[in-house]
This record gives sequence, structure tokens and C-alpha cells, in this order.
Amino acid sequence: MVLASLGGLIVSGFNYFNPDSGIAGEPGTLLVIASTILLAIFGIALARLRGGFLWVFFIVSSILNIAGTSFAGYLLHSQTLVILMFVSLLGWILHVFRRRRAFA
Amino acid sequence: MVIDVMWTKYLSSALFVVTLAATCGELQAQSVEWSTYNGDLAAQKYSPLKQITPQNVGNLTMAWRTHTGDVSAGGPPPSGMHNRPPASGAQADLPPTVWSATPLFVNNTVYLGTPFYRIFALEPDTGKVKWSYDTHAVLEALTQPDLKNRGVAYWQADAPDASQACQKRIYIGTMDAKLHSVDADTGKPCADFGKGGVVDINQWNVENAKWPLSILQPPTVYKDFLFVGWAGKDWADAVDPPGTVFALDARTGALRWTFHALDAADAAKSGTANVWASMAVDRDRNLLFLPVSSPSPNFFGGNRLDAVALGTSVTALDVDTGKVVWTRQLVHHDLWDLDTNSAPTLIDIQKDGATIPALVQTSKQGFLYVLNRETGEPVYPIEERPFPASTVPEEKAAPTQPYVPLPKSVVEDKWPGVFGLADIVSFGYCSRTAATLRDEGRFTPPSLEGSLVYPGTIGGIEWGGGAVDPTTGIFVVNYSSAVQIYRLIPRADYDSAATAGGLETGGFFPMTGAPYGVQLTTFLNPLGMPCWKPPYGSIAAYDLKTGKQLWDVPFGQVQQYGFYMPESWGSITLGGPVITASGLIFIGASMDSMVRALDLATGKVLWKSLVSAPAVALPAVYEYKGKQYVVFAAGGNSILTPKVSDEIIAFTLPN
Repeated sequence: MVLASLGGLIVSGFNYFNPDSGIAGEPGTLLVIASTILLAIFGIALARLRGGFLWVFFIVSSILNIAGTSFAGYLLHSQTLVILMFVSLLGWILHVFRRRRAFA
Repeated sequence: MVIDVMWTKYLSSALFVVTLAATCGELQAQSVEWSTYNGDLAAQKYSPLKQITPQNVGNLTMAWRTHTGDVSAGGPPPSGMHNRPPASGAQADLPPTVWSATPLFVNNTVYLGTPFYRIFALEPDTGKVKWSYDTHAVLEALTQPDLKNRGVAYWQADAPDASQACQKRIYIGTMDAKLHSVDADTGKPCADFGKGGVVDINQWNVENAKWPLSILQPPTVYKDFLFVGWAGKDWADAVDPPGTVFALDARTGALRWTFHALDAADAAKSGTANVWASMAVDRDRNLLFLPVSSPSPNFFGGNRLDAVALGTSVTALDVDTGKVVWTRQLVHHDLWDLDTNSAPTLIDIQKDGATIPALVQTSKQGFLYVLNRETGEPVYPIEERPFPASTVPEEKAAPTQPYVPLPKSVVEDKWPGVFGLADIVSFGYCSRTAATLRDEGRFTPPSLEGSLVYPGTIGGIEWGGGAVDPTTGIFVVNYSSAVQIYRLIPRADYDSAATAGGLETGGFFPMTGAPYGVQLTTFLNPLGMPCWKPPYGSIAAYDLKTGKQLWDVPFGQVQQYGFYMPESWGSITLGGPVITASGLIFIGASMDSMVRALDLATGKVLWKSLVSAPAVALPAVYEYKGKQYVVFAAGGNSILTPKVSDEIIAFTLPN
């Protein structure tokens, strides 16, 4: 999830500065830059947490972030970002699944 | 073997052109060049080229692109730029640029003008600059709010003498009313034109000369005439320079005749009714067709209650004398700024077994006026229908307006209604506001409480006009569906608000000299979303033989904050289409900075490519060394989006 969000950050940063991207300098591109940074932070936090309220908070925030960033990427016509968010989603599912198994 | 194939190719191309010229009438004598703003003088925007087809257009790739450097988003000029200081001498900010220039391909060269009023001559297969010419024009918004250019014009002598300079010429106008003539081969000024290659059009700006006659649209060139219209300063004053068109000698710049749209009485109390858009010429009939704009002030007509006969009209002049042959007013007593805004498209229509010499005049109000171009009489009936009266003191709206039942108007008579999503996200702002506005459908006059105007001054159909396939009579036009609000403000209230500094933003225009100022806004919610239902822009095709609409589909995509809205919403559209003989439509003209190829039969998008700003000009289609090119100027327009550029980009098929 962290790697995919960092990938999303790089892609969105490139789009923001590339005049041929169609979304260079746009507020929407800045938004996904911010959301991918947040997602990376959430991912790092989740890797360090072992449970509790904060874990729940970050897991919910992460899935909302992934959904929102995916939708924004779709509206920005940034297919690469959407794919990377899908990869993030897989990471999120793996994380949740692994934790449930740990508690099983 | 290769040589044989090439010769066969060239020979067949030459035969094709010769055959066209021999077998078709003057209107069909298109070439593989794109020698005027509209492709040809008939404004058909049609290319006989067939190399790029609906089957292979998906393979289209960029052949070249060039940046002129002449671009401004508003703000300080870039260091090292070839800019000039403004007339005041101070280093002021540059206004934003609006670039609506159709590139020309003629004399084996691509020519274009820029919003900094420079001419570029480019290699047609590489885009490399052959030469450039700088008018050193003042870069100030003297009339229009943006630095604006719609391209250049080309003229050549009947029998060019290669040993003489300026046998072929390029012309460009400037915001400060200078018309420049340069040698098409070298870019050197033609010394015999005016003074040192420049004619000051403003020398004929002798009545109510409040601002210069800005030459933003390139002249229309026919025989040895340059027909020069001009643009002015919108909505600032009640009394403006009266509309004129000047016919100049293409070699010397000498004035041959002047057309006056207003008589002396109207000129004393009104103004404009100028021709700011391109014109068309019927070579066979020696007629020049003018799209004449509305008289000033644009949203109040109490000072011009007598009929201004040529205001908001299409008018035919004799080419040699400038005398009016016929005129047809499209809006009586125009109170909506519904300028006739594009050259009429000339087309011979096969109807009921007869050939009718016709023209199609598109309009901001969305009607397609199909007229006999010899007489101005309607080919399809035009009815005088009653429309609402004005409630504004001192105003009297025309009791009837010309109404075109067929072909069907591109926009409906009633606005589309409140868009639920825009209303919900603004907590009911749209529906609350709509309930306060005067709305009696098409031609609802401006009012003190605010009138909902549909279509408003941004159309409907804008300056790109339509394109026609002369072999089938299929006419294609892109159009916007935009709702605007016109609110008149009593003079005392307007002036006191202006003094208090409350009119800096919000679409206020003084109409100084009239008893009212005006607030003109597009009907958006506080988030910037249109309050009316989509689609916001579409493209439609008509069969001119029957007047029937063939298809009508949303066109382009809205892009807000970078986010693309659904394709079904379309986009406000500025610019126009061109048609090729292979059954394709090429068009930019959308907010999303895409250029597209559409299937002429269905309107389906077959190819699209991102360019660096909305391509709000007509594209040009040409053939060079056996290859077909489509070239767009991607310059942007602040009406669509703040995104601007200086990019000219050509597409072709891979080798």
C-alpha cells in the first residue's frame, strides 16, 4: 500500500508539472498529490500499529482515501493512478486479512 | 519503381484537382490548400482530401508542433520576451491571450498570426520557422479584454513576377488598428502598401472614435480587394463608432469603398453594427456577404427605437462598389447582443429538382438561416412570431422576431431547466435564483429584476460557424447550450456602486450614456457549476436538401479543477469544424483541450488527442508532398478556461 501510494505520488507529481498531461497545475492534481501522501503515511502507521482505536481509524481512513483517490484519478483521466490505487486496495485487503488470521 | 509510384500519386492528385475544377461549379473548386480563414471564400470549411479516413484516423500521430512564444495568462511579461512596452511607456502586466487563428496553408507554407501580432511562416512538414515578422504592436487591451488574433490573410498577383517582391503577400491586423502587409516568401514589409507596409485603419475612425478599430479578424481577400472589418470595445458605451467595412487595394492599401451599416441618424445615437467576424464571397455573383453585429448599447435599445435596418443582419454587398444588394435582419431591435458572428456558408442546394444558390447563416440564437444568396429570400420559411414585451422604462422590445421552424434550431425555445445536482450541492441556490428571474423563453428582454436569457450572447453558435460537404449537402455545426442572466441597473445605482468600488467583479458593464448599466453573468451556482441541465455543448448535422437534422450528440467534456465531467454533459464550445471528403469532421473547440475526429455519418468520436489548451480556432487541412496534414492552433480562450498556450500542432498518418 505504501509503495503504491508513493507510486501514485510520483505519477501525480509528474502530471502536475508536465504540461502535456492535461491536468498540469490543476487543483485536482494537487488534491491527489496530497491524498497519496496521506495514504503513504496511513500505510506506514498501519505497519507499525498492532491494534486498538488508532489502527481502526487508519484502516477506515485508508479505504476512504483509496476510494476517493481512485475516483479523483478516474475523473482526472489518470489511469495509472487508478491502477496504483487498485494495488493499494489489494495491500489494504491483505493487511486486514492477515490481521484477521492473526486473531483467528 | 518508387518514382513510378510517386509520379502516379502526384499525377492522380493533379488529375483530381483538375477534374474538380473542370466539372464542378466555382463553389466546389476546393484545393488541397487552406488559403483562407474558412478554407475558401465560400466558407464551406471543406477539404477534398481523402488520405485520412474513418478507418485509419485512429492511427493519426503528431507530425510536428511549434511554440511561438506569444502567450500570456495575464501578468508580467516573461523576461527576454520579444514584447513591447505598452503605449503609456510603463512596464505593465500583459493581458491574457486569446488565440483563435486558423492556420493557412498556401504558397507551400503554413502561415499564422499570433496574439502578439506577429506572423509566422512554417515549413508544412516539419513546423520549422521559415521566417517571422513582428508588427511591434502595442500589447494592451485597448478594446477587447484579451490580446486576440484570428490569423492572417493571403493574396497573390494574378501572374506573379518572380523577380518582384510582394507578388504574394500576408496581411495581419493589430488591436491598435494597423494593417500590415509583408512579402509571403521573405516576411519583409511591402513598402508600397500604405506607409512602409502599414495602413492605419484608424484614419477612417472619424465618428464617436472612443477606441481604435481593432483588426483582429484577418481581411477577406478577393480579386485585388482586402475587405476589412473590425472589433470594438463591448458594452462600455451607448454611443460607439458606427459599423464600417473598408475595401482596400491589396497592393497599395488605398481605400476603394466604405460600407456603412448605420445611417447618419443612427450613427449619432448608437454605434457598432460592425463586422468583426469573417466574411464570404460568391465569385460567380460578385457578392460579398457580411455578418453584421448588433448596434450599441447592446442590452438597452431605448436610444435606437427606430429600426436599425442592418443591425444583427446578414447583408450582401456588390464586391466592386460596396453597395447593398440585399439584407436580412435576423434579430429585430437586438437587446441581447446576438451579433451575427460568422461568415455564412455558401452552398448550392439540390431541392425539389432545382439547384438553389443558397447560404447558411448560423447564429448565436441557434437558428440556421438558409437563404437564397442571390435574393436573401428564405429557402425554408422564416416566420415572424410574437415575443415578450419589455418591462423596462424607455424600452420597447420588437413585438415579433424572425423564427426558423426548419431547419430545427440547435437549441430549444425554453432553457433546459434547473440541474438537480447543481441545485442540491448549492442547497437550492439554482432553483431559488431561477424563481426570481424573468423567464418567458426565447427573446425574453433584459429587465431590472434580471432575465434568464437562453441562448445568451455566448450562444448558441459562435464564430466558428458550420461546415458543409458540398457533394452531399450535409451541414455540421457545434453549439453551446448556455444560460445567462441579464440584469439592467438604473444609472444612478450603477454609478454609485461603481464609485464605491463594488463593480470590480461580477460581470458589470457600464453602457455609459444609457440610462442603465448591465450585469451579465452565466447562471452558475456558488461552486461554479452550471445551474442548467446538460449537455452544455453538442454537435449536430443537417441535410440541407430537406432541412432535417440527421444527428445531434454531446460534444467535448467539461474540465473543472482538472476533473473531467461525464461525456454526456458535453462542453461549452468555441471554434468550428471542418469536413473532409473522406467523411471525417476535425474539430477542437472544447474545454478539455482535446482535438477530435468525428464520423460525419454519425458524430461518433473516432480519434482524439490532447493539446496544450483548447483549440478555439478552425483547424486547417492540407496536403504537402503527398501527405495529408491536419493542423490546429491551441491557444485557449478565457470564456472556456484560463488555460492558454502558443502551440501549433500538426497531425498526419504514420509513413
